[in-house]
Amino acid sequence: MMAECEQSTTLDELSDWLLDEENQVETSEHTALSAHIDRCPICSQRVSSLRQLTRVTSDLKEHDLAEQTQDTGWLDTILSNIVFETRSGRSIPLASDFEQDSLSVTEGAVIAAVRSAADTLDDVLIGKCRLHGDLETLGAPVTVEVTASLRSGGDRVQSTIRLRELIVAELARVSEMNVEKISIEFNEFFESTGSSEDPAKLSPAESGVS
Amino acid sequence: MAPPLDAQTASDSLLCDRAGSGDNTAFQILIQRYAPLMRAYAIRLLGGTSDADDVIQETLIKAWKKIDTVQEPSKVKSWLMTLTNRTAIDHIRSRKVTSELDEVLESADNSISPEQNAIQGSQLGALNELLRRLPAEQSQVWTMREVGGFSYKEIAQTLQISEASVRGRLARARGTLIDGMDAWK
Repeated sequence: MMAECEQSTTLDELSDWLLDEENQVETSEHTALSAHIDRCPICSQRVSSLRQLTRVTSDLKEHDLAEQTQDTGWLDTILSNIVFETRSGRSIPLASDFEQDSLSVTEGAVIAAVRSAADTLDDVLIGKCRLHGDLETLGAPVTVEVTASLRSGGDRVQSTIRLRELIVAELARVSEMNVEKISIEFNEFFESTGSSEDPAKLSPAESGVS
Repeated sequence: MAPPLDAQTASDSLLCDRAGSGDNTAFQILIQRYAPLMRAYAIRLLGGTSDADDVIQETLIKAWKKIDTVQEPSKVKSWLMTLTNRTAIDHIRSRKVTSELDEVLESADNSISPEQNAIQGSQLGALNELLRRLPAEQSQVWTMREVGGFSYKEIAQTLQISEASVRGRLARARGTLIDGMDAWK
């Protein structure tokens, strides 16, 4: 067990001081403790030990992660035991010529169809796609919310128009929803290789459709 | 035609958004990306691969069910780690492992893997050994803070103890570890 310093500075306080050092926090308390550490051999030694512990902990984390990434057979085993069920969501009614029939399409199927259609575009990768409104009532107004990633250098206006047209056409093909509004927000760029980076909020484009 | 989702470079945010909208492929890419980190953490917290794999499996099922509720898609890594942490702690609670954990750790001591052998004798090995000997409640808090990067508040909420208790346990763990590391030198 280490000896206690004259000021009774705790290990907890020294740990917080180290964290503040890393984050370049400069408060009067921090400055005062810095001065104390400079002249207190016990605290100075403890800080040195804590720094060493931080370094070795970082090495330990890297070592642990490397061990898991070296051979990921364990993940294959885990995944083989899981069935990721399709999220069907709400049931969206379809009109029928026969009273006895009850036709519908699932929300999940509609969203998957929109995503597939949007993925045919050159400059767009669709992200979130949500349907808002009373989907289970035929004819009720529905809003479609979409976020997407735009290829760097891509034309946002043209891409918005093409994406909207595709969504409208696909929704009409697979459902009979009364789509009142489609909200499209490009919130990222991606490079030609398929990377998505430099998240930058672009202005959302909302359009009414009828 | 837009490029297919690139497992190497697709952003967390895009993958999370797509997964939240039901895209299984995007979810699988996310899992391939972060499952090793989740498992490494779970093994540290639980002290063994068998329990860790149960926890990871349960976490992945929960993640798929709840990923549409993620508020900040760019922070999906933190979300997955929090889910792993909570599931692991629930696992410990359900098995009342607080006392059993010491036994698990002791048995782990007796079956050191080749990888662990390779780090014996190093500072890493010394820390590994010291962690095995820490009381379970200190080891948990230390792992959550230093390996998982969770805040005092998050740890307190997860363990249902006060922040002061978290600080106390952490200070005792750090004290034991730095004393042990100094002695190793």
